[in-house]
This record gives sequence, structure tokens and C-alpha cells, in this order.
Amino acid sequence: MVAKGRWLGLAALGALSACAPEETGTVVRYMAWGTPQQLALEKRLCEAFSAAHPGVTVRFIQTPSSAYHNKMVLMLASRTAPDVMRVDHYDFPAMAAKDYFHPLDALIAKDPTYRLEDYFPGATEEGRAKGGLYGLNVLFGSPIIYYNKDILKKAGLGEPYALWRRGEWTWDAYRRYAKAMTTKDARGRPLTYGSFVNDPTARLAVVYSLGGDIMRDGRVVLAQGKALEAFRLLYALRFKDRVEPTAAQSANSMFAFDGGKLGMAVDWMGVTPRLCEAARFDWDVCPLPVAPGGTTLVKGNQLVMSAATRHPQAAWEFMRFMTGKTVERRLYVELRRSFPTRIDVAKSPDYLRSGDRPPHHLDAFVSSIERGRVLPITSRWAEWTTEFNSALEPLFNGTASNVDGTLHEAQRRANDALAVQEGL
Amino acid sequence: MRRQARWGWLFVSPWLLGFLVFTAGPMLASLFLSFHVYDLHSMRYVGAENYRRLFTVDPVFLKSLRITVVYALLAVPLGVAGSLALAVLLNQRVRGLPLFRTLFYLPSLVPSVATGIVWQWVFNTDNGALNQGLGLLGVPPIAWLQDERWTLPAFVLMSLWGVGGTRMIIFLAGLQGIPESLTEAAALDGATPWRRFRNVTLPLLSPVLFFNVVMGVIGAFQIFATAYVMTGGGPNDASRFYALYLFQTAFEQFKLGKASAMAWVLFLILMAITGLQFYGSRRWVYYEKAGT
Repeated sequence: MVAKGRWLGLAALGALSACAPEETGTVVRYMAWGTPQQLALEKRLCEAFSAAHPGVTVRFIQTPSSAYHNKMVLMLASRTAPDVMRVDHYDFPAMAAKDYFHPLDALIAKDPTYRLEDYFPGATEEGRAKGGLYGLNVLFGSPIIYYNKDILKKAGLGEPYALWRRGEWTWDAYRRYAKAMTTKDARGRPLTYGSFVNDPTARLAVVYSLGGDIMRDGRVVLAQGKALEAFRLLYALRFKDRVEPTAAQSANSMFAFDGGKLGMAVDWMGVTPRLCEAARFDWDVCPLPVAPGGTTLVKGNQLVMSAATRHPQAAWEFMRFMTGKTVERRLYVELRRSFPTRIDVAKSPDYLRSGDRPPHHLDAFVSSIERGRVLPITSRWAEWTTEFNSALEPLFNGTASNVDGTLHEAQRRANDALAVQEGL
Repeated sequence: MRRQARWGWLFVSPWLLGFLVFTAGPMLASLFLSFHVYDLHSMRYVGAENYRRLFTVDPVFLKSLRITVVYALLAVPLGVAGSLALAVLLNQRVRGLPLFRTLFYLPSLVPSVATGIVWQWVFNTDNGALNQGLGLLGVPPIAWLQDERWTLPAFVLMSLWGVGGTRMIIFLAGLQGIPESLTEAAALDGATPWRRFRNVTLPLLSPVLFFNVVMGVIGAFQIFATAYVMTGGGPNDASRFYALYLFQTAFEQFKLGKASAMAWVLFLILMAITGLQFYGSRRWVYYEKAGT
């Protein structure tokens, strides 16, 4: 009876191993989330790397973005994390502080073919923690203005891109455009809105564009100076000019850029492939207006190596491959997913050349990145932004109208959160 | 006898093992964690600091507790009354009764996530069915899920969606267990339908009513999925119900010590409320005694 059970067990094992893909030698596990097109491409890239590196197999673990954060936290805490993984930069500083990641400086020093100067400084800066480099930036980008050229034409306006090229693209011009692109039917019901800046980080991009600061000396200063001005502007767009859909109107995607009902929308460069597929109208991009002393905002995600990896060299080879010229061309030139971190790829004729399909002016992306400033993301980012954004909700929902008072309250709540000892 | 006891333990052991591993064990672990700061990476003993901070420092916790209590105070009486009324209606001798019972029970079969998404549409300020209906009565549009003054009433209103569910079935079973001879006798004595309901049906139904109130309060304190889907706790924490805040503290912020303390506070609150309900029940719950 026992012998029979043993044979059955062996047979089951054999059947299982017959189903599993052939993995010999060193296995590098790689985990990422992404759009279906991007994941399909990454899978092919993993296979290409494995084929080009005999003795090394990359096992690609695709995880839905909704479950990614929790899965990664649990895997890192239990020291079962994949050798290489992509980490959202919002999470990176907190995780790096816990020594979850393998330092990369020594690996870079040993690799004469890898030069940090090949990458945009902002991209490299984000990967630093505790005085060293722990992440290679991927899916880098900046919030940018997407505009609907059909609505623009109906409003009889010139292209924002042209204004930007002439140095005339200011927030006043943006407001003028947004008003002209907001239309209503005979009964006064909105048909199109001219503007939409809804993502909390896109709002911070407006703060940067006016020259405001988010934090100073470890404290949130969003209710001060130019930052406060930025929130006054954002409030005015929605409730004074009435050129933005309200929270209720934008719920359930009733007024979405993809649907052709928004004249201009500030969104991340990463949505470009989705618009290429979904938008049934002509559209283009231009940078956010930048006031004197202002900057754009940049943020990426980090490709990191687990501190618990048993194959640091193979993992490094794979990381280098994923941030190399070939992969960046596939991901960012062909798929248009976010923005290349490599300067030569971003400035190559291939990247800048636009075909008949939008976006038509890729140099707007390059300019946004070059003038970009990184976010002051620390391990406490999630704590204070949760408080801050929560306190701001009444303002952007239209139930509070005192911009300065609401901002001061939001800033107080954010700083109160930061004053609490970490972890409590 | 000992042999019988051994068999008894053997049969009960799967449940016992499950209880120890999946209920008692985690409960004890969470009690231990509630006295520590723990983020899956490092653990530090902080005594009762997590508990102290909940009541003295964390404004979101107090707001979350307050809105959950208010929600329970509104949703439970309305829900129980609604279920009882529906059960009484469905206990009448009318044609098509099985069909009505099925129809009223159907909404409770919809998963809460789907319910949340449907109600998001119902509550939409501009195009929602509720505001469209109210508009016909001249009521201006209400930002149910965007205006923090209306978020809690919206959730209470939505809770009535489930009045035809399990609670109603339990009431119906209770009503059908009441001997008709008693209501007939009262009718012969000249009691009006309301007096028959008030003085005969309701006292005999009181154990069922008590059960539904106790379970309703516990359920109301655990409201989670709809708030998670519809508002994520906003606007401005107006729908950050206790269980939602607990979940976000544990599994979004990974403050597992604080979340454990919150879980124990909730447990103690529910124990206290249930204890008070049992104490108060002596005055209004009537149990039929054997032989009477």
C-alpha cells in the first residue's frame, strides 16, 4: 500500500515537471505589473534574455497592479521576494530603508559597460537611498497636457504646442483655452469641458510649475507661497471658471479624455499607449505651462534587486538588459510606454519621429523630463499624503470654498502625521 | 464512557483544530501585536501606547468610531423595522406569495461589491436615479457621495437594500411559528389588527427580534465592502467606517500593532453592546417556558 502511494506520488511529480517550462541552471525570478501590451512585451524580452544567456533563465511573475503592493511587501518581509522586481517609486524609499534591496554601486563599479551618465539625472536620483544606488529607474515620466485637436478646432484655437514653442504657453493661456473648449447644449447641459487636473500628483505638478515647494526641512509647505497659488488656480478652474467636470460628473468616466469630452487633461506620459488604442479623435501633447522659477515634475518606478537574491550577478545582468538600449527602444519607442530613462534613446530620431498617429510632438515629452524635479518621497509619503488629500476632498468636491483655510487645515493634518513617530 | 469521550474528541477535533489555528491563535497573536509596533519588518514593544494613541491622538480613529456608531444607530432600527414589515407582508395569504418572497430576497444575493458599484450610479449627483426621482419633487441635486454631510445618510439608505434578506427570512420563520389560535382568540375578544400585532405577535416574536437586533448591530459595526468600493473612506473620512479604517491601517499602511489594537477595541465595544442588549432583553424578550 505504501509502495503504491509512493509510486503515485512520483507519477504526480513527473506529470508536474512535464508541465513546467524547462528551467536549467540559474533561475532569475522577475516580478512586474503593467498593461497587457507591456506585459506581453516584457515576457518576450525575458525569453530573449534567457535565450541570449545560456545557463540563465528568467522566470517572469506577472502580478495584477491591484494586488502588487501587498504581494511584494509580504514576499520581501518573508525573504521570498523575486531576484528582480519593479517597485513603484512611492514605495521605494520606505522599502529601501528596511534593507530589502541589494546595493548596486559595487555591481556598477565592476561593470565597465554601464555608465550612469547615460541616464537622465532625475531618473538616477530617484534610485538613490541611504547614500547609495538601489534602483534603476524604469517607466519614467512626467505629467503632461493631452489635448483634443478636434475640440480645439471647433473652438477656433491654435495648438497649445505652438504657443509653448513660442514661449507663450502660460497658465493664463491655459485658462483661456479651457474656457473656449468648454461647451454646453441648448439646455445648458455640459457637452465638453476644457480642463481636467484630478490626480493628486498632477496637482503637485501644477505646484512645481508655478515654482512652489512641497516640503521644506521635513515639513509640508503646500499652504504657502506659490504652492498655495497653485491650489487657488486649480480651485478656480473647477469652481470659478467652471471649465472642469465636478467629481460627480467625472465619476464613472462620464467625462474622460479617451471619450472625447475633455479639451485638455493633465495626465502621466504612461497613459499614451492607452490613448493610442482608445481615442477616436486627433490629439497631441504639450508640457504644462512653467512660470519663471518653476519646473516640471518627474517620477518613475524602480527596478530593484532583492537583498536575499542568491544570484546577484545574473540578476544584475538582467537589470542592465532591462534598462539597456534594446529594451528601452522596444518599450518606449515602439510601445510608447512612459518615457526612456536613457538620454540617447529619448533624443534619438526614432523616438522623436512621429508617424501619422498621435502624439505628434515627442519633443514636448523630452522638454518636460529635462526640466523635471523629483518628488520629495520619503518613507512617510503615504502617511502624510493620505491626510493631506483627505482634507482637500471637500475643496475639490465643491463642499468647501475657502481655499486658503482648507489648504492650511490639510497642511496641518499632513504635518501632524509627520510629527508622529514612524510606525505608530 | 471514556471510549465515548475519545470518539467525541475525535469527531470534534477538525473543528477544534480549525478554531485553534484560524480563530483563537490569530486572536491571541493580535492581542500580543497590539502591544507592539510591527510592520512585518521589525517589532518593538510599546505597552499600551497603541491603545492610548487611538483615543487621544488619532482624530481619524475617533471620527471613524463616531460615524460607525451613528450608522449603526440609524441603519439597525430602520433595517430591522423594514425586514419585520416585509416579513409581516409576506406572511399574508395572497396570490403569488412565493414569487414575492423570491423577488424581495433577490437583492441580498447580489455581492456587496456589485451592490456598491450599482449604488454609485444610483447616487450620482447629475445622472443618478435617486436625484432624478427627487428632482421630480423639486428637490435640488444632492452630492450623496461627494458632500460629507450626505455620505452617511447615503450609506444608511443603501443598507435598506438588504431588508429582504436573511433577516426577513428569520422574521418570517418566527411569524410562521406563532400559533394562529392565539391571534384568533384575540380577534374573537375584539382586538384590532394593530393590537393583535402589538400584544400577541410582537411579544411572541421578541426572541427573533432580539436575535436580529444583536446580529444587526454586529453587522453594522463591520460595514466594509461597500464603503471600500464606493468612496474608499472619503470624502474627508466621512465614510471611513471602523472596519475600513482597520483594514487600511493593517493592509495599506502595514501598522499591524495599531490595527490589532483597533481590532481589540472593536471586539470589546461589541462585547459591551451585546452584554447590554442581553441585560436589557430581560425587560422585553419573552421566551415560552416548557409546560406553559
